Order: sequence, then C-alpha cells, then structure tokens
Amino acid sequence: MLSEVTVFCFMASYLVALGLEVTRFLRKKNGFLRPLIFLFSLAGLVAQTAYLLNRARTTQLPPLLSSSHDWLIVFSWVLVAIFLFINLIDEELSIGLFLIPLVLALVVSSYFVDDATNALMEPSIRSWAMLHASLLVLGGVGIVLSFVLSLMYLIQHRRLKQKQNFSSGFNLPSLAKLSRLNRWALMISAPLMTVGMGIGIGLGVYVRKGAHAISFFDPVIIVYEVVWVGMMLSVIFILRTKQPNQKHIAQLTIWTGGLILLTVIGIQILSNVRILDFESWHSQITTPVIELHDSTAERILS
Amino acid sequence: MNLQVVYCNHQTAGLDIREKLAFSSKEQLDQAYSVLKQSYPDTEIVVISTCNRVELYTATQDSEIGPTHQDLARFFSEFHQVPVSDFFEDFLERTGPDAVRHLFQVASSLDSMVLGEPQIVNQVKEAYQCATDNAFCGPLTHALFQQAIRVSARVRTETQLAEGRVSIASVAVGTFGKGIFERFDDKTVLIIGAGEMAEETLTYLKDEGVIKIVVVNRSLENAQKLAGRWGGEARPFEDLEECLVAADVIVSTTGASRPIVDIPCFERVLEKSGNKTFFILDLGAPRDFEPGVGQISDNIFLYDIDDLEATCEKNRRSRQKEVEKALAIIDEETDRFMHGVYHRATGPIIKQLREQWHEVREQEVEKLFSKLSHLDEKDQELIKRSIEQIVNKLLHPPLEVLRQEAREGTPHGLLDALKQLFHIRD
Repeated sequence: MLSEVTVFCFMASYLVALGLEVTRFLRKKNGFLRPLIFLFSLAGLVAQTAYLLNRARTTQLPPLLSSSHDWLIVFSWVLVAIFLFINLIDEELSIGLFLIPLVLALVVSSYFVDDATNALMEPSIRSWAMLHASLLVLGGVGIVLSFVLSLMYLIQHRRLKQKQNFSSGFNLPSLAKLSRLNRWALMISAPLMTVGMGIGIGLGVYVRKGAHAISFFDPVIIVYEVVWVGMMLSVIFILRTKQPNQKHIAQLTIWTGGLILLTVIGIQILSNVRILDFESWHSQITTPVIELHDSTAERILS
Repeated sequence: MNLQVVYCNHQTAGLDIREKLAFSSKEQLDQAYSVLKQSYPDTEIVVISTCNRVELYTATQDSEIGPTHQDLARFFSEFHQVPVSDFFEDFLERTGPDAVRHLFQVASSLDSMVLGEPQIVNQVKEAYQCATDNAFCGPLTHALFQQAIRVSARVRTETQLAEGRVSIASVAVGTFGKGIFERFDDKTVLIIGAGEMAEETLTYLKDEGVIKIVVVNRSLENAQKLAGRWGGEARPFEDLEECLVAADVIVSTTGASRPIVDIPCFERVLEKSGNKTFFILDLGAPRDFEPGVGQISDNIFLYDIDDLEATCEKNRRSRQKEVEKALAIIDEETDRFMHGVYHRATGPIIKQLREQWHEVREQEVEKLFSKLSHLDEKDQELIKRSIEQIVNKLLHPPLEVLRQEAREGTPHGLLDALKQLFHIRD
C-alpha cells in the first residue's frame, strides 16, 4: 500500500490546495474554501509521510540521510506541517498563497535531483550526519519563512503606502508583526545553519582521515561556504542595526534568502549530487566506492 | 391575525422630526408601554427607537381590536406633545408581509444609514427584550422578532454586506492603523486640534487599547477639555514639534487654512526620532500636513481625508452589490414566516372541525353497534374504518380549499364561514 504512493500523489494535493487558495483570493469570501484547502493540504501531508516512510524502509536509512531527493521531500514536508499549523491558529491569514508555491517548487526540484541511496554513510558518523542534515533542513525552513515574511512585508508596505484596501480574501499581518517574526526567523535559522555547516566541516575533516577523502576546495563546497558567509553578514547587519529601515531589511532578506535557496537547490539540480554524498564533493577519491543503486549522476555520466 | 408597523426613519423624516418622536430613555419607553397597555391591552407591541428610526410594531389575533395608523399617530402626538400634522406625512405604515419584510430589512441593516452596520441587530434585540420585559410580546411578535434576528445572522453569513469598513475613523484605525502596528497599548497618540473627527478616531483607538494620549491645540483650554474627556495630557501649541517626536499615531483636525506641519519641520522630527514608524491621519480640510511629508521616509504612513473617503466609498460600493442577494434572502424568509403565520391561523379551525366531525362519527357508530349486537369484532372494525373514511373524504375538499387560501394570506372570510356553518367556537 505504502509503495503505491508517489510524488505525484502529494504534488497533486498541493496543486489543488494552491488552486483553492487562488480561488479564495479572487472570489474573496468563500467560507467553504478554507476547510477544503486544509483538507487537501492535510491529505498531501499524509501521502508525503507515507512516501517518506516507504523510502526509509526501502533505503534502510532515515530520509534526511538517504538522498538529496529525500532531503528535499523532508524539507517540503516540514513547510507543509508549518502551513497547516498556521492555518489552525489563524484561519484568515493568506500564507498559503506564499508557502504552497515554495512547497511545490521543492517537490518539483526533488524530481530533478539524485534519488539514489547514499552508499557512503558509515555507521560511526550516522548520528552526526543526521544532526547535520536536520539542522540544515531546519535552518532552511527558517530561511524560507523569513523569505515569505519579507515578501508579505513588502506587499503590505506597498498597500499601506499606496493607501489601498485589500479584499477580504487576502489578509496579511501588520508590518510590526511581520518584521518581528522575520527577525525571529533569522535569529533562529542563522545559528542552525551555522551549527549545521560546522558539523558538516567536522564530518568532512573526519572523512578526510578515512578512506573517502573530500576537498574543501571543491567548487560545490566553496559555493555553500560563500552563501553561508553572505547570509551571516546579512544577519549580523540586520541584528546590529539599532533602528533599521524594515523595508530595506525585507528587501535584503528576500535577496539573501532567495539566493541561498536558489543556490542550494540549483547546485543540487545542476550537479545532480547528494548533500551528504561525500563522494560527489571530492576531488581526490583514493578508494573506489561501491554504489548500492545506479544514481542519476552515474546514469548521466555514463 | 393582523400585523402592522408604523414608523419614521432617516429616509422618511428629518432629524428634527425623528428626535421629537424618539423615546430617548428607557424610563420614557417604559412609560410609553404603560400608556399603550391602557389603550390596547390585547395588542402585542414592540417599539424600536434609535437615533435613525422610531418604529412601533403591533400584532393582534383579531384585526378589529388593534390600533390603526391614525390611532398610533395620535398616541405619538399626545405622548410627545407634537401636533399630528407635523409628522403624519413622514409617519408611514406597513401591514402583513410588508411589515415582516420591513423588520427583516431593518434587522439586516439594509435600512440603515450605513449599509451593513452591525449595531442595528443589537438595537432590535434590545427593543424586543424591553417589550418582553413589559409583557407586551405575544406569540406573533415572539416569532417575528426571533425570526428577524435569525434572518439578520443569515444575511451576514451568506452575503458580504458587512464586509469592509465604511466610516472614516474605522477605516483609518481598522484598515490602515492595524496594518501598520501590531498593538496600540504601547503607542503615543497625538491629537492636533479638537475636532469631532478626532474624538471619533479616539473611540476606535481606545478600543484598540491606546493609553497615552497627548492633545495639542491653539487653545490650551480646549485641549485640556478634550484631554480630560479621554484621560490624556494637554500641551500648548508651541510644544508641537516636541510632541511629534514622541508620537507614534498622529491625528490632526485643525481648522488651519495652511499646513501646520511642512517637510522641513517633519525632517527635523525624523532626525530626532530616528527610524520610527509614524501613522499620520490628516483629517483637516484644508490639510494640516504637507502631502510631501509622507514621502520623506518609508516609515511614514500619511493619510488624508480623501484617501480615507476613497476607501470608504469603495467599501460602500462593494456592499451595495450585495443588497440584491440580501433582499432575495429576506423575501424568501418573509414568505416562510407568513406561511407559518397563516398555518397557525387556520390550524385551530381545522383541528376543531376534524374533532367535531369525528366526535359525531363515534357517537353514531356507537349507536349503530348497540342496535346491531350480532356483529363480530371484525365486522365492527370494518364498519368503523369505512365510516371514518367517509368522514375524511367529506372533510378533505373544504380543508384543502382552506389550506390553499392560507398560502395567500389569512382567509378571514372563509374561516368565519366555516365557524358559522359548523358552529365552531373560538
């Protein structure tokens, strides 16, 4: 039964939920749409959970560690769970219009990244690798939320400056609340990403001593490091400014967050590698490795 | 059954007439009820008296005993000491389904000055409660007013009649202010001038939790009066710039002929206050703030009376589109209510007629069985059923005609005829 759940199942649910969100936005007041949106999103989440459980059973690894594909599916799963939670506490908030497209983008991206099982996961470092991947997912979720909050801030700011009145189907929080939440999202995601990156580097050093050496001068790793440094600089600037111009902060967050998300996902798609697949990060492999399955990368290379 | 309403409201009469006919306090209303009780003891009466309307609903079982339009005009004239000729032209009357429809429209705020405003249904509820307390409500008015409250809720749920704010102050605070600030209890409100609009805006700001209010006015005495009413602090006009620096929300309603805050002035304010967010409501005409002030910083949100009025008008127009939908609901509910009323009027007659005929049937069957003692139980049962069917078939045509007639209204003539023909007593 579980094996019959495919990516298409939950993607279709989220597409319907997005369609209903758009309808709610266009048709203004429709009391029955909100529960429908909730139900379709919940159905999608249930299907996605079943899919992840099935993947974990097949690969014998937690989804966070098994492949880039699964990592992205977990990433989108957390976002949907957050969306449902927000829907429960504030039914009028139009967050679905912002969050569901990002969830769909992650699900679609997962289709283009490597779904082959990571063969190089040594049991001795598995728990550290798990922590590394979890922190990166949670940090990534924080960045997505920060991105969404900033986008909402700019729309709300524009509305207020242009003295417009939004329709009843499109409710946004106040500027003060959006900037407060954005600040929190950044304050939480930056340390998570930093610790995640730190553990990643530690793992890299450890692996370097072992059989599967990796290079910190690998272009992929360098890009990640540059993105992280950029993010940290932005966060420090935002948190250190005493009376910041919130509009500029929202713009900065959108640029930084957008760049991070595009880079992280884009690099995976372009190089078709796995985040925790140290083999693909290397420049000097000394020992041949045995793949459990044919990876997409291998298929492309062949 | 007879149902009527006599009324004058903001559409039919000017404020001068309405305030003469209004019942301004509960004591006055109670006094009116006691006068009405003496004159019309068998009539159900509910009075709705607000600043926009005075309406008197009456209901009687018998159309002959209730007060007429003229009777009620005379009552208003005597009670308020106003000549009938002063208001009779503006004092309208509706009866039957029209009266029901009128109340449903009133309760659903279709008849309000501000379409879709929520207060009227509470005023209807209060009026109904007051009439109940004075023992003036009966079966018909209970049903009518309870239904009116339900209809109001249905209109509110199924239409967008109450969507969007339509008063300047509510738009200013509810639509724009709440879009800027998360909370108001930690904000300083500066009132410049002491206009009426400032007070109305303060009402909404107080509802949002505003605590600190500073009033600046050219006349310190007027500033002190306004500040006293709202628990605020009065400051002389010379302190304006200093007050602007400390303020988060600024409401300006002076009668100045030129802007009192120009761009250089606000740039100085901004320099001292840092990158703080300002929510400015310029409700003066001509404007008190130079329009360019809103462009100095991303954190200044300046709204003048035209900006707010444009939003109000947009909301009014979108509410107007919902009127037809609301009227359709009201028509449907009026028909449903009237069917219930007519059914209630004919029900007792039908019941009595049936009981009377079946009583005769039972008496005759008893007589027959005493004469035909050789009949066994099975035969007796067959005869009983057969006679019952005959009675039912004979009753069917007149009762069916009565039901059909009741769909159009209470068939008083037919009911009287039935009463006389079959000796049915009330």
